[in-house]
Amino acid sequence: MKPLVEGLEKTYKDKVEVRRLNVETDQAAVALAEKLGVQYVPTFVFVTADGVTSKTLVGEQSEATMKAALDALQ
Amino acid sequence: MKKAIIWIVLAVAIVAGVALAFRPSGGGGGIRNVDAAGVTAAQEAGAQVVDVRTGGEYQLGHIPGAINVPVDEIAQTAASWDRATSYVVYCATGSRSVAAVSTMQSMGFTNIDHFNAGIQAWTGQLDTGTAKVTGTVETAGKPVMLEFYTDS
Repeated sequence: MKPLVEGLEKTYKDKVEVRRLNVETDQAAVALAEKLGVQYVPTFVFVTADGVTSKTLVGEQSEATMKAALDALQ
Repeated sequence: MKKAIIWIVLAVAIVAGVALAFRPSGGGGGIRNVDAAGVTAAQEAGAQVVDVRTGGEYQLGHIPGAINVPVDEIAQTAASWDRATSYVVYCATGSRSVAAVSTMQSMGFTNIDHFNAGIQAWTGQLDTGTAKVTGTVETAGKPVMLEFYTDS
């Protein structure tokens, strides 16, 4: 998923902030995952500008699915 | 030409060796690759499930009944385990668990089920938390996409 996410990060850089969180090495990432109830990796959580989680995608995703979720955040 | 033949023979030998070491489930002792159903069957037969991911990954969700022994601690921790017991070993995708199984095999464990597809192929419930992701996240005033991932 890394190339896809990096590509989306460039495409949406002015509209959406992308945060990549490694739950294997980053304790802050683990804490946030626990707070949000994330159980699997990869999991994508889409958060509105006011900080509310609006959509979650679990597992490998297509570019079209990811773009649809990102566009819905605009 | 001779070099090519030698390389082909070596490749075949390596593939055959791996296939023998990690052959599909067929009952009895040995090292076997199993799927999610095989994990459940092994658990019901009394096997101890071992999650060799990090503590953080384990906390996010693991197979019910699994104990957590990160792969880099398996040699030290498993030293005191009963060699006659059956074990199921898994990680996220199967890469770390291969190393753990290999270590255990070298330590004299002879009855190991390797969930080689990893927890991403687990079809049952996970032990912890809720499935629905909810909550709030600090933002800098624009939408955020969080990706939770591991490299292995």
